[in-house]
Amino acid sequence: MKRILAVLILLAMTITMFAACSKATPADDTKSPDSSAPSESPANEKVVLRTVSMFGGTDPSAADYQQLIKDFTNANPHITINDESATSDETWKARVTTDFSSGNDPDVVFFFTGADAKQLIDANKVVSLEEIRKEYPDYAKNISEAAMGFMQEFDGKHYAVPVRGFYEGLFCNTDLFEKYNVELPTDWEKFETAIKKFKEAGIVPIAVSFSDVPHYWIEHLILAEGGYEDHKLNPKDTYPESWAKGLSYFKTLKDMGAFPVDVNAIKNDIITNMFYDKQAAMILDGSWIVGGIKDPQTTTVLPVPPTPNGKKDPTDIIGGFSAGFYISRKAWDDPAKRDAAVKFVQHMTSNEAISMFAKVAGAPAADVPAPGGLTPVMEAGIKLGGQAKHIDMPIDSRLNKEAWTYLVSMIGSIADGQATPENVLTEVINKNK
Amino acid sequence: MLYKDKRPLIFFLVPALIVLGTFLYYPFVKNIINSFYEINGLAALDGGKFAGLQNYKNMINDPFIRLALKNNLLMMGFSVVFQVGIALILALMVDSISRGAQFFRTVYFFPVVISATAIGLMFNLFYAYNGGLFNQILTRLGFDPVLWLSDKLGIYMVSLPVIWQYVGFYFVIILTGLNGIPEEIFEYAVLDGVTGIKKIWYISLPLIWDVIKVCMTLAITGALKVFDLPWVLAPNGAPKGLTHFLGTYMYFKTFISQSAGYGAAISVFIVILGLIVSFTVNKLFKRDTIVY
Amino acid sequence: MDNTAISFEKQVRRTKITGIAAKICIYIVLILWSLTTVYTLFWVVNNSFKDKTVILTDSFSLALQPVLDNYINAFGRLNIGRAYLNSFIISGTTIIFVMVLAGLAAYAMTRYKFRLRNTLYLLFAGSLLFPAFSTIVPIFKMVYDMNLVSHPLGVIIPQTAGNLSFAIIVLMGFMSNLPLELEEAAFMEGCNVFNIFFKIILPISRPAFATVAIFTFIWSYNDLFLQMVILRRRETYPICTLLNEITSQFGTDFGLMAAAVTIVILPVLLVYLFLQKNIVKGLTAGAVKG
Repeated sequence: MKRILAVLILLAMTITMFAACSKATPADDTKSPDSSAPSESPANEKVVLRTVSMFGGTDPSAADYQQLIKDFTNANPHITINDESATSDETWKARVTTDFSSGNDPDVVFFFTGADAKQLIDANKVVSLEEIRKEYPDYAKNISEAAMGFMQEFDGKHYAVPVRGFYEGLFCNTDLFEKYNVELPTDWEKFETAIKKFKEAGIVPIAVSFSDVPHYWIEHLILAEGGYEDHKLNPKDTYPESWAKGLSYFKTLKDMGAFPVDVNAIKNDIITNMFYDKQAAMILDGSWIVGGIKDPQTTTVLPVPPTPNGKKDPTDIIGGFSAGFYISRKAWDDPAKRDAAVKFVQHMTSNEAISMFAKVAGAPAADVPAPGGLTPVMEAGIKLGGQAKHIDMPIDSRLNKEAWTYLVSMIGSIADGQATPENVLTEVINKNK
Repeated sequence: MLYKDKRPLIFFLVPALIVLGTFLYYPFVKNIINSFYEINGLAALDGGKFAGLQNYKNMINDPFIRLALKNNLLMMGFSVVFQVGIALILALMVDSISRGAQFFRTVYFFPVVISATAIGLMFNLFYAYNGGLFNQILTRLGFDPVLWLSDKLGIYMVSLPVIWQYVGFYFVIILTGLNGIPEEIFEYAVLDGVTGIKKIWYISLPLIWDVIKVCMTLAITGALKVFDLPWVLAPNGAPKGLTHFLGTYMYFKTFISQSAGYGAAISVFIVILGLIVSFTVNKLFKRDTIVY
Repeated sequence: MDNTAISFEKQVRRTKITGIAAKICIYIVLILWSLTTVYTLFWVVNNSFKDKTVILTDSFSLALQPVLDNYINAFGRLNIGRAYLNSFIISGTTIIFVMVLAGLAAYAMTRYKFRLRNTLYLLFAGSLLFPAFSTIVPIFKMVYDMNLVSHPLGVIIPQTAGNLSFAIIVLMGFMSNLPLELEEAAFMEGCNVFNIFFKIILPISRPAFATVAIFTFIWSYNDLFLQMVILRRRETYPICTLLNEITSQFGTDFGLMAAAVTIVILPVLLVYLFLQKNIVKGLTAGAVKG
């Protein structure tokens, strides 16, 4: 009997303990709305904002972002920030959408635009810039027109405020190119020669994982073959010929031995590290990998060259602004939180903040002085963006989820010749309806 | 007469039923309802479009479902033959020795207590093409490294750790069944001249038949639910979706492709399949239970 | 349950194994299988004490001069102590909930005869077939409505529900084997049902409860899926979630990964080693009858 009693006491203790610690945060939430009108004295009121962003884990801006939060709470002691940042991947995206679907809406979220944002906009989960500006006319005024253009959604409105742009390019370990006397892949012929030479030398020519992230190669092969005009389509009835031709290069390249032996099973983080550790010569990736490069002095980045009959302009790249800060409808409609949320986004998108974000990766979203102390690979990246004739957003910002994930899952089979690009694309069109 | 008064039943049963009802049965029923809706994106969870049987019809035409089903059936076969089979052989052996039985009993159970995630990561270290344990052994012996997660080998290499992990579980159950056989039966058998393999075949096996049946049912239903280890070891059914099981494919459709309705339909399918299979196993292996 | 009886049985049985050769063969097979379970673990632990570059070239040698870098690295990056604490709060409470609820329910199921008994039993057994991910989305919604996201109870209650059916079935198997005479006698002496449950049934069923506790602990501690969905704030992460994150970020650092695996499996192995004698007693009674 004694033992049972002990168990029950322990049980009671644990429950009260949890109850005690759970009070700490939600209590502030519930107290604030009914206390007073928002316009009167927001400065004295304690506000808790829940923020979610992809500036977590290995993101090159993670540390800067945390610093910005610290600066913000120092300047606004009445605002507490509960930040939930994590590395962005498909699971993270799903988590954010699950949050919104179950009513667990964050107050401010740094999230993708385009196809990913559509369901949030459809469900009236986020507030448009146009609506915010009615009350805060200066909101996001410092953001450049070009950057803001990328933020336009299907309904013509803008929702997210961008801070940093991204580009995608073919990153090359120049020391390996020198060591094996190989020319940089500035055109398709040199690209093929490089693959052959590295293959012979026992170096993996192109680091990529088909099972994890073949995304970049899908976009770039289609762009290299079909050019900007075909790449920017969102096909609903028929697919452009050039898409099939572009995807057929997966097989061409695989047959040349361009990819690692275990391309169909290896994980993407291992692949990225193979490039960092000089076990692979080239990797096609986004500007966010710059932060992890161990040897920025001997790394450079180029646009993927057009295919032999490709319509792509050699300078065209994929890039743009694909994410930004949103204020959720829930925070906006909460008089206690509205002002704090706007303040937070303004702090995060101020010119100072933007130059901090631009320092590590990509193009700044506002007219800020070029960040100093750039490494050669960062300079190459900025040049890439500056010289491009066209910059287009990746295909997956347009195709719907089901169509896109299906296409991704079929790349391994296309490269092995077990599925034809034509059949796969027909199915993609079916799913994209 | 002690248990004539039914009132205490409420005190004993209701707490468990409330927890189970709210956090197991209700979500499951909700899941069945979702399977009749077209739900794109988890955000639309409340506002899906009623789709009737469309999700189930789509399943019939989905080549990945067929592949996953085939893999699950394969896994069931492996589970019965290797999991329960190896467990049975090991149990019979340990039952026949005196020294070290306790040791084997302890270490065979090790993998059961380790999380599938940890085992998945461990096998990632074994299978890695460059520098993995298996390829290090091969190169030491002078062979070429092998691509373990290839089209042909992939499904077997993904099944291997799943099978290996739970052998110890069934081993312990069968071994205890064997220990429960009264000694007199063996003594009579020896008097009748039954020894060695015959003793196992005519006495041990029939007497623990019930135990083996339970193990088979557990192994088969476990094979149907398999999810986390394959997902950690070969995400997205790598290579090329060839190692998808119904569980991993359901997760892929729900959380990656965000077709939550379709995912719900797959999980309903898994449960129905599980009911059919365990029912069949019980019918198929029905023998007169021997009471001792 | 009686050790001397078992060892006596063993001795009688042992005499039936004839021939040294057969014996040697049996031991070889048994030892080979134990190598698959022991050596693999040893390989991981051993390599966690080596430099990551050494692992790629030579993973078999003994780490005679252990390098602690991987652990310093792991502990430096992450608050592992806090994560262990979170894990034990979650798993510990889940065990208590499961034992209390399942004990009560199993007692009622084995001792009382009532109309819905068979239906209930089918429901319990059937729910063992539910894949965890088929209930996750509705569960998340409910946990949210209860304001328990990023709160230990948000994981504890669904985990309790998930482990309850198995626990009830195991306990039922054990309790139905207990002789009724004792309870009848206590009743004659004026005990009521509750006294009987707490004073007689509970103490006798200790081995079965221990089994339930171990399995609940294993499954709760190792359950990555639910914890990943419900617990969002870093300071609430249990050990599995935390280390899963690290491995997804530093996947090529074999040394760090080996250290991470070691950190995850150590507590559960220790718990198992301390309590393993009970597993057999309770589990077989339950599973065999189940």
